Amino acid sequence: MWNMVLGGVVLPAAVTALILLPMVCAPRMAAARAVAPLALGAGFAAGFFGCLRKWAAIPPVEHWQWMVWLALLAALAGVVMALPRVPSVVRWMVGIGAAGVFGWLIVPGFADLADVRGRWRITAGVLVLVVGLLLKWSAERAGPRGLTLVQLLGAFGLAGFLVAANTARFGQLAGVYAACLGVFLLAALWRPGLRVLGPAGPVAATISLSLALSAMFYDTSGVPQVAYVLAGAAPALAGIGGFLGAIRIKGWRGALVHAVLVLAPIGVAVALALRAESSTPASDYESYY
Amino acid sequence: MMKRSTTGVWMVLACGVLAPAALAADAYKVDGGHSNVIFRIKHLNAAWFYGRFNEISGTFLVDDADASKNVIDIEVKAESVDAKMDKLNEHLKSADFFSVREFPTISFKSTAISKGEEGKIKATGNLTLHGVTKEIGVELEPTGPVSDPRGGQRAGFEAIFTIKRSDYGMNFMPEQLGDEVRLIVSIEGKRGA
Repeated sequence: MWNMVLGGVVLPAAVTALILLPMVCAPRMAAARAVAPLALGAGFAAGFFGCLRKWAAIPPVEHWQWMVWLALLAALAGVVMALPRVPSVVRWMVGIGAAGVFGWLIVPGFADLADVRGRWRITAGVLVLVVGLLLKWSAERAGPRGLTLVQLLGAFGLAGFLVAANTARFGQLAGVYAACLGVFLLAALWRPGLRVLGPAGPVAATISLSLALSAMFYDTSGVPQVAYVLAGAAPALAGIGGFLGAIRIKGWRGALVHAVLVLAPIGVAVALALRAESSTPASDYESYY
Repeated sequence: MMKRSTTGVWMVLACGVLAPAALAADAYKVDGGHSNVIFRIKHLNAAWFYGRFNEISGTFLVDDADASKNVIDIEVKAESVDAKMDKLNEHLKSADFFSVREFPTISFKSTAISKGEEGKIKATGNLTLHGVTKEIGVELEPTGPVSDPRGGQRAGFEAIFTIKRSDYGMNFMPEQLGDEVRLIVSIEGKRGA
């Protein structure tokens, strides 16, 4: 138990905090914003290692383990996109390129996916791009503390959904993601004006969708695909935070409305997972763990 | 009924991928219904838990005369894992354990077979589990051959050996489940008809 907490919570939080420190200590330095995506990507990678107690090879034996490399790639893309004086066209090219790689690598080569692989690659690439953009857009308009808190709640919700869908490993990794976001929330509380999560938007979108889509492709429980997409793309509703900010519903009131709206699709996803579970014949055993 | 070989029956399990010539007339086809692959693992460090796989296939060959033909090749469908509880079965099939969508089969293919002591057979081969292939050595206790009352001939063997699941990348829940897994493999096959 303690090993799990150490590897899945303490280690990723410590790595995230260490890398995020320059941004928190020098909030007015534009270049310091670039450490935010690196902090989230490296924190998640550290937690991935802490949970699995091994690193993922290239290519990994288990296809889903691409997610750690995708998180690091998104972190690098995020750094380029967050650096000052980078031309807009370069930012777009990097963002679209990273989304394309995500779409290409997140879909496994299972034989039964042959007919739909291309479609899923495009869908996944578009999803990660849209969710990342909405997070960025929202971060520029919504209150940073509220937005970070909402994303943290979303990560906890994603973890709960993944456990309900019989993929505890992915649920555990969603816990790692939540641990990293917890550090972002502390940073946002410490520096109230600092838009800490915005530059890390592409990484947050990548991690959230990596977990949900991988769990969907590996599903053996009969949970509907729509549930996985809803849970993975829920951070897209960060855009609502941006909208609330734009119409001047800010602060904790805005965060509350935002939280309800982000958690609603995850709630639907959990309900669908539980319904799929209830269709499994009842066991005489209270719990198999 | 045929007399049981006392010097150790040279048995070969060869699945359909083997060249037909190698299987020839001596080939035994695994009878999945009468074959068993059972695993044992420590649960919560409290007790041994047993599960099994229900779909086993392959072919084997008994050949005392020509040892060069001897090969062992077994295939088990990972999706057929059966641990008595439906919810547990689903969890075992998931990416947390056997990841059956990515790794649908578990196989053993022999690379060398030799006579062991007391009529047993020593087999070395590649065990592929969860996408990882590792060479292991197992000792087989041959049974049969006997004449099948319905025609043809039947023979089998049993092998009991232990692997570490972490060697095959299956390291989820290390504190709740033991690392060592004992496998009890009992195969029955039929040749002729």
